[in-house]
Amino acid sequence: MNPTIAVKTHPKGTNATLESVSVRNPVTSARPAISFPIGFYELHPDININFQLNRFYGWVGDDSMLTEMRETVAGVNDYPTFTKIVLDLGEKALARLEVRKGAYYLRLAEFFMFINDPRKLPTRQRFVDLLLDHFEIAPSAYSRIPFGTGWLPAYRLTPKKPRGTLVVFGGFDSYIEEWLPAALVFRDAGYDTILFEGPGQGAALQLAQLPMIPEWERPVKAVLDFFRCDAVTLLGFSLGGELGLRAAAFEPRVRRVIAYDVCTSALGFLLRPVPPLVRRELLEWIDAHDESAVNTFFANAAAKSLFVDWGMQHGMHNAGVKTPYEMLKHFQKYETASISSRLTQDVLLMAGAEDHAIAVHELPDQIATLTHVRSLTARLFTRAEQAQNHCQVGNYGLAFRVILDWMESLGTIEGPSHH
Amino acid sequence: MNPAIAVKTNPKATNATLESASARNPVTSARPASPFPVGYHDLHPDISVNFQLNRFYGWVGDDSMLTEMREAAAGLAGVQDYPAFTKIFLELGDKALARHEELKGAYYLRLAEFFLHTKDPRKLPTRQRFVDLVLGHFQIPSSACSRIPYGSGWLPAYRLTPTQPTNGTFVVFGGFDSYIEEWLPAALFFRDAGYDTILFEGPGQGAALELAHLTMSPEWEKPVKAVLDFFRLDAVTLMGFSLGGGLVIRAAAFDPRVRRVIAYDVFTNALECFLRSVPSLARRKLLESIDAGDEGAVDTFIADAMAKSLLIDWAMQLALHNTGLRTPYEVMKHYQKYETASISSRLTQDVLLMAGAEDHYVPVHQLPDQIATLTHVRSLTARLFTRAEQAQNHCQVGNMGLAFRVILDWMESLGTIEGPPALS
Repeated sequence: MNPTIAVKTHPKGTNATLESVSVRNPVTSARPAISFPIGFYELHPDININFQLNRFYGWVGDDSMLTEMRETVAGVNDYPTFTKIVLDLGEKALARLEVRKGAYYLRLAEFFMFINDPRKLPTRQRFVDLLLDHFEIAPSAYSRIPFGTGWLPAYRLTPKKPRGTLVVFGGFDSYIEEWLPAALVFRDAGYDTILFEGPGQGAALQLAQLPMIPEWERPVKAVLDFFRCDAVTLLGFSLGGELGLRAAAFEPRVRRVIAYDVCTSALGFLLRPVPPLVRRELLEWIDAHDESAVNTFFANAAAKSLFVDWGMQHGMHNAGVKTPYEMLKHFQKYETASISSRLTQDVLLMAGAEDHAIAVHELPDQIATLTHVRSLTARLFTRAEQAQNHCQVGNYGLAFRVILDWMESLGTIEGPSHH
Repeated sequence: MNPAIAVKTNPKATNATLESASARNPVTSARPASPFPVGYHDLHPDISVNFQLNRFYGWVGDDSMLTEMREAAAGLAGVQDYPAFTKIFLELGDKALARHEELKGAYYLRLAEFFLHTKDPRKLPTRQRFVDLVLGHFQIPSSACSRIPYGSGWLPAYRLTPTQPTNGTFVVFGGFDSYIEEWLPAALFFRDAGYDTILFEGPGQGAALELAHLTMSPEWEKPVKAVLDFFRLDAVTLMGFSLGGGLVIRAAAFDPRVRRVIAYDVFTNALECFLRSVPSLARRKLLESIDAGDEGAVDTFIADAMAKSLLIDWAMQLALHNTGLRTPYEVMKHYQKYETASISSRLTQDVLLMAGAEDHYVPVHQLPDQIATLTHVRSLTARLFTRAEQAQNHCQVGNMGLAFRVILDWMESLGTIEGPPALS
């Protein structure tokens, strides 16, 4: 391990009470722990709400947050009530000057607000401002990169002696500022770390009005051109696992690619909650251009499920389309099978064995189609490691350690690009 | 990285001329280089012969060996002539030994011995000379050698324990055509990295076969149990190479003392690998004949193939010898049992899978196949090696140092093995 990696051990991280009965000896790294808590908790009976609670808790790691969430939202299933309670928790935390906790509470509340909720944008902005201030991100670290009719936001966190450039972006429902605690770990490990949002994400969507596009090589090109980078490691998380491979297929300046996690097809995760038989029927309707059947199906499903309603509204907003049919048609283009054979880079694929959003078979599927890579490493995380979930929520520290180890094992990027 | 890892840089390793036109910037580790050469060389037009030349060269890393082999092979190019081949390499071995180039001489003898037919009277004495030479060269004391009682015979084992407190116990075995002494240079590398390293041969391998007359068996948990019992081990990392990549999954499925598993490389289905060179239509017919129990059709097909190809002849003779069976049909039926799909879901360990993108024995799809069936592991890491790394071949021949680095990094990333064995 490179001695320049200064990582602090969070005292609460290792003492986290592991509530899952099947947890035995969570895997601990032989190296110093990064300051993220270990443990995926059962805080809410709804699998999606529970995931989001753990997701944002993972960036804070303050045990009091677990207690507060358990006491207040465990029985709450409707999003308006949930949002109100969590906003309230956020305000209280901020009043006590618990800035990091308060900020992520606001983000958690904002996450479940519908697109047309007038509180959504202002709450989002408070979250962003609070985090930037908390982590003392200088305005000079921020750029707006011209892109099409708008711009892409980017943060560049540069260490004293950079040993390489890491470029990171998110997925379907992330704000890149969420990832700042991780970015600081990579910066402190010696990587010039650039975070950006592409079209359809965060400020690029909300402020610059850019809807999402499948051609992810375009925003990546804009970012690499802007910063004049000619050899980078590219990391996309969540749906970004698909977008990153797509970008790498067409952009030779991307020398190393990290799919965190693998995502071979967007429709795969968008339709994951739908039972297999119904899913097949839906896919047939989509292929047959049966617009009304698809729209009727989702109108019914949304009336029955807040989660489906939320997801559909969110997806249509991201893609800039008006109907569920158009949205699915749009996201059908987000798949890696058709482009994977073009990749000639070093590739790291990550996956959670019990990811509620992405089927575990997508890991071997993705490996099978990467037929021309320079090297391939794959890592499947499990419950024993408390990292079985999507993007290793429950043990971010382990995921980041695996990423760092992989980058270090390859050494510095040398020589001209392959193409 | 553990500071106890003292690796020597072989000046020749980094200067190896990469002959493959597509080899650009072989991946170099940020860490110290291992003492194994980098580069897969085109030394002989036959893919299998060429592989064996590179395989044994990889343990020596002496450039003069490349020159000598190239000259020797030039006289053989185009002729699938194993008798001439073995004669030349026995001579190269003796010449090297006369010049006191011990390691090179030993591996030349092994290379010649490799292609000797099982019935050749020179085979066993040559094998023994090879074993004695490498044991002498690496100064392995007789106290490091054990004969572990097993069935009607015994299993040979070597235990190489570091002087410093160890990072754990690492148990290693080979595959279809290896002698475990071949692997001593690697074993010393792992010992010096702080691992108590145990090498053994199971039934059907090396001395267990040749001297103790134990034929191969698919129940690999049995020899592993014997070894762990003998050394009183309760938590080990277990690694099998080549066919051992399948055997190791099998053993781990049934022995909870195996806490970490390394398939170097993956080997999900032995029959598929053995029949790889058979054209797909003929292979399908052959598999149908095997499933239908049509002994005559299978034996006729194989006899015909053996008459046409020295490689198939050699491989089938070795398989008959390893298994102690009498007909090709029986051999096929036997190796059909060497598959991991039926037991992979039982594994609850940390698992590392390795594969070469251009392995001429193991089809690359066996990597995703193996991942898909390991549904209950504690953690899973997979590594596919490529031509850009000069590690695209079976068992990463061409860049074994990179393979060992990946193995060490993986073991270190998991830390020391703690706590009681997982209940399976």
